[in-house]
Amino acid sequence: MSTAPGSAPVVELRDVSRSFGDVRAVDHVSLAIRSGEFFALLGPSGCGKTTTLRILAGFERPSGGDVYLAGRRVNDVPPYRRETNLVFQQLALFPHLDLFDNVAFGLRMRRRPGAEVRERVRKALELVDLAGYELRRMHELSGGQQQRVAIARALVNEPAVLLLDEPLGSLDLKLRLAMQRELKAMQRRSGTTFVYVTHDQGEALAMADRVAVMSAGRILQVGSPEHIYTEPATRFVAHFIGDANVIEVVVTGGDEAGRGTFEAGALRFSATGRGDLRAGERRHLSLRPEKIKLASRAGTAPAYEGRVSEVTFLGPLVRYEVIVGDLRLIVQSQTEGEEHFARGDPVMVSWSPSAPVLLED
Amino acid sequence: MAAVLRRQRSPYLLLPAFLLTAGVFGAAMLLLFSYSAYTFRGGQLTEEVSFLAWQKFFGDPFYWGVVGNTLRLAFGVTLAALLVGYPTAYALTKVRGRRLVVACYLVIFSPLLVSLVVRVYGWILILSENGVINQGLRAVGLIQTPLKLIYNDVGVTIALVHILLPFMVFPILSVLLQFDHTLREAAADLGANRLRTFIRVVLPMSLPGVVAGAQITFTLAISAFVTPELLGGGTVQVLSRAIWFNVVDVNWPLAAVEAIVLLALALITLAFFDLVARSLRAIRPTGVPRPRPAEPMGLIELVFRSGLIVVLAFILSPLVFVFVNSFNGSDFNSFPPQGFSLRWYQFVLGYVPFREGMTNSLLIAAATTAVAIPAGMLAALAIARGRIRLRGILNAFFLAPLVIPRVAIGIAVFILLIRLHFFGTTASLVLVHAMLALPFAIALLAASLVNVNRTLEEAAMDLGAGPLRTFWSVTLPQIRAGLIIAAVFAFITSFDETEASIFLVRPSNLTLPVQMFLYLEQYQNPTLAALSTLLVGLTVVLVVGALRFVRGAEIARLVARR
Repeated sequence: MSTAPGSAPVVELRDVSRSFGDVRAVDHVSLAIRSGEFFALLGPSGCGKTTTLRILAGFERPSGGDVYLAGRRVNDVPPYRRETNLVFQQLALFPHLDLFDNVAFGLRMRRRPGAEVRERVRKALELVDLAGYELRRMHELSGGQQQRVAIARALVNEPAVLLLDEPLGSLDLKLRLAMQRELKAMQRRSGTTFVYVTHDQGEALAMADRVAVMSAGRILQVGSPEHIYTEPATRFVAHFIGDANVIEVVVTGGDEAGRGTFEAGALRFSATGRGDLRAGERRHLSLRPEKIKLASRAGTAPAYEGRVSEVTFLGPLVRYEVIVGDLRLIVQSQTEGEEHFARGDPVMVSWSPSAPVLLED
Repeated sequence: MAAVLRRQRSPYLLLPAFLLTAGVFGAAMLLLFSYSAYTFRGGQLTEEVSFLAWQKFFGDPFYWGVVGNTLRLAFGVTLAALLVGYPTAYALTKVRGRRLVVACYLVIFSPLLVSLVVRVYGWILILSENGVINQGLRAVGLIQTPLKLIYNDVGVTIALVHILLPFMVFPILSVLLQFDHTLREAAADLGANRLRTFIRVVLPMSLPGVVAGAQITFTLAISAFVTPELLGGGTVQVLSRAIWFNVVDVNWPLAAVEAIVLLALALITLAFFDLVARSLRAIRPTGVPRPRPAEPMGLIELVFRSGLIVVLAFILSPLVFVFVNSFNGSDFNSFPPQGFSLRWYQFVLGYVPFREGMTNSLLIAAATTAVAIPAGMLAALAIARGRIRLRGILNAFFLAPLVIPRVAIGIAVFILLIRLHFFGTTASLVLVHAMLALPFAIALLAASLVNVNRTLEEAAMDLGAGPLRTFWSVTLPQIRAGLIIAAVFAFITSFDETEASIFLVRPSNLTLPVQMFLYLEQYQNPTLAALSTLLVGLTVVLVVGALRFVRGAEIARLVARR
């Protein structure tokens, strides 16, 4: 383990698995999360992200593998002796305690002196903008306020890692967006490592420093939001993050540098990818809708004839479905500054040679 | 009718239940008050108005002592029931498997299905000088002289705890079952180990259940009659016994005063606990509670499971020993039984008073059910469906017969019936029993109605079924479980009713429990054991037969809701 502060992983999962009977909820997951990072676990329902989080919190014991927190192996350490705190999806605020006692609970469990408790709770409430609400009971608060109490109750203990289980799920859209910004700001201010579970890819991209995309208990890709978006590793990731055209192609040629050429029917593509490329192999490419250009006349780039089958107006963007050869492609254009087309119009479809991304599967 | 409950119709639905309760109960209570102002002079009851009885009661320190005894006993019983009942309820939340859970519920409820007299008799067998405990301890060599466990406060307390345990366990269990397991995880996440989680989170949040349980237990404990009468050996001076004595002596004014004081104590108790409950009202859960997941068997689980078995054994023990003793060859209630004999069964089956009592009780119980269920059904419909103002007061009104001491009801109705020249008729018994069974019926039926899918009723009406038809073919089938359980409860309530009936029967229509009570006051042989076993057997057959028609899931749902 490196000793340089800020670079040693504060959370490490090594080949962790967890099964419930026959079901592999977490399947050989390995992760290293750095101190001070905002790390998101992203995936659809049932992908294992919540189970992974609960393993970190100590509520699930891994069937295999090891869990390390700040360099210490914690497989057998119960939740009340870990330096993690969890913000529950259902919040789990104590109804029989007022706001102050709720937030102070963890500090009191560690028998901190009264003056220290009062001071730290005060600071935590300021952080979440709930100063003055100390005597309120939980049912007297709005959903957004309850959310912030849950966060304050966890943060006041200054844990090494803050775990958040889809904390914004029950909020309406506007409130959710506002809370996303607030949470991001809170994380920066406090410098605490956040591990954030969500199924909302927009949320993960907006808030996280790094994202791990999970499916069926496995981690498919870990990277910064930009990296995952522009260079998805698998078909699943390509589909899950943003819109994507995933095209089945046949390898026509490749060089040692990894640059290859592909074809799908009459269409030709080129892309860079990892690993060897053998001619005749079936592979998949991802092509983002905003990277496809439509024009009424062919320009300098290679273009293919197509026909517009659907038009959807989205405000600043227009979404087209275009039939090109055997493919149905989704294309996204700006409303302002680009040509408009109607249903049934013939179009010339083109893209830059660097646009397609070769997927691993 | 159910789906188209217009505002004007609702109050009429309440009429039968209202008449029953207000008519019988209300009128009786009013009369009781008036009788307290009559005079008992020179062994004669006169209609002269004075407040001699009141003066006698409040002037004589003896009666203050009686009040003190009553409260002391009730306090001890409630405390003991709490100390036993809370861990029992907690252990029950850990029981896995629906069959096992329903079985545990049935065992804990079983004392309520058996006549009071039977239970008291069972305790006599266990606690007397030659009873099970003393014989057992002597055999093992732990004691030389027998422990005095009966005909004193100890025996009465033990027996009362036994009888009132379900009333303590169920409210606590109900609250614990609704406990959100996520709160446990939150406490653990914040640094609390199991014990501290229990003390800081689970216990405080279960207090509403504790208060409800203590409220019912205390109220029923101050009004207990048969138990202190039969097990107290004349030394346990409680208010209910004083009432009994004064009624027998025809000193009705004094009896009325005592009944009113008892009533007042009950109401004060209810009000006090209500205040406490109100201050706990802030404990309202947020969100949907998550039940506790199954846990592997650790040491703590083992301790709880063993404790639960001990408590269940405690609950069943009187019945078990009654059963064993019914085959006793000797004349005495000796333990261990000497010899095996079936003669007590023969005697019971041939003993005319018991046969007559049985016939009377069966008839009255059937009639009670036939009255209480329809009246209760209508009232439940009005309460659950209609838009009635003062729903709270209405609920309290129908619950009143439950919490008011049966002895007080007994004497009040007794006086009323004498005045109306209606005393001693079987019909009057049926009305009183129906009034006592009504609260159960209304509560169970209202709870069932809440679970009914209204959309089905609307569908039926859309297809042409009128209100009555819809009720009959759509609503009723859905509340089958509640209906059957309510009917069983009404039947058993009437069949086993002792403490009010004692005042209301005439030699010609003695009910079986009253026969048993009188027999037990005189004789101490195993006859009653044989009779009790037969009765328990009958009850079991009845309950099992009824449960055939009900699925376990429906019961569990009903119990959890309460």
